[in-house]
Amino acid sequence: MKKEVIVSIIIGLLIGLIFTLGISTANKALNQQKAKKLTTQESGNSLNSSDNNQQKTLTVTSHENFDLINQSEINLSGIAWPNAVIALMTETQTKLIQADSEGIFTFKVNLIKGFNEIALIAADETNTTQTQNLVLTYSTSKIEL
Amino acid sequence: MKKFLILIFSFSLLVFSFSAAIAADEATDSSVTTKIKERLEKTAEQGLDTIKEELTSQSLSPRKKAYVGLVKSVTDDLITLEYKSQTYPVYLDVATPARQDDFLLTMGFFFPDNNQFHAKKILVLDTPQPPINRQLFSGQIQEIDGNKITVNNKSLTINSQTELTIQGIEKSSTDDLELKDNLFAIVTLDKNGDIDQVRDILVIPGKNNPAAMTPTNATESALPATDSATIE
Repeated sequence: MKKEVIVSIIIGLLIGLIFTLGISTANKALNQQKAKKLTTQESGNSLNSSDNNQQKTLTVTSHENFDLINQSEINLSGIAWPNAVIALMTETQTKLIQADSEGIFTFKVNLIKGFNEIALIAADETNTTQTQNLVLTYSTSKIEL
Repeated sequence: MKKFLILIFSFSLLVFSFSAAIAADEATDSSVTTKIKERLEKTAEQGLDTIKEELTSQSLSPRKKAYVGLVKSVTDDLITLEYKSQTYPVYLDVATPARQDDFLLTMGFFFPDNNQFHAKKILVLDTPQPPINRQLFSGQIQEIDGNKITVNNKSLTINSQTELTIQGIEKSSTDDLELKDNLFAIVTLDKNGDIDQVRDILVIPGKNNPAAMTPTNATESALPATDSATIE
């Protein structure tokens, strides 16, 4: 009788172990599938966003139109599209540079006293052009609220 | 029969105990994960709130601005300026002798909360001269004849005042140009709309130009290749 009980316990233990392992393996497989699905969705989203980024626009991020500045030398920066050629035209200055692989560009601009009309043009080999005009005023006179 | 019952009993007991153990383990894992998630969400929310508050206060704080333009109308407390076909209302915090058709430079503060610009200082300027007719001209190089380059069937003459830059070449000269290079130039136009002067030229080398092979993405901080990495 004792022998039989021990044998049955061992068999039960083994079968129980097999069941448990089976359940945990199934769980792991399900989790992996979920993770894969999520990764695919995320990469899909990032592809969409990179498509959106390829829209060819020109934005000045460092300054706004009609800004009043108390420094004669400024860094005018912004974002266009990857490797776009950016032209800067002011009354006294012209410059041509290429934006980096993310479309970011920076110009060192020397402002004249008073108001400065600045034109920025982004272009590329496909003849796409985008223009931004800015008026920046350089003055050292004190203005208080 | 007895043996069979004992067998079933012990088997069910073991299965139950294993399942219970795993369920408890998973429950503990999931509750810890949920707690961590909740904590992270709380922290992120708090951080976002602080950033939002800062941005809101920044965006609502008065900004120094200077509007220019031709006076279209004047009242005691408001001037309307016109610049490049757009009108800008300027609220006056100072007295001004400005009259209609004067060209003004008004300096003051823009208040984003009520979208109003209040001038603190007003200067009457001479009406600016029309700007020089400049353009960005671009296309592939069709012909190179000494200092004369033909692009889009138009001839550009490079002179000592022209700043020539060829991507990937440090000291660029016309000798480094090749047919089918992509050329971008800032040009001034004469009264007839023809190219008068070429100020700046930027050339992106095409397939015919050996400079196109030069890597342009390397940063200045990039270190030279080590001996072991150099292919001989």
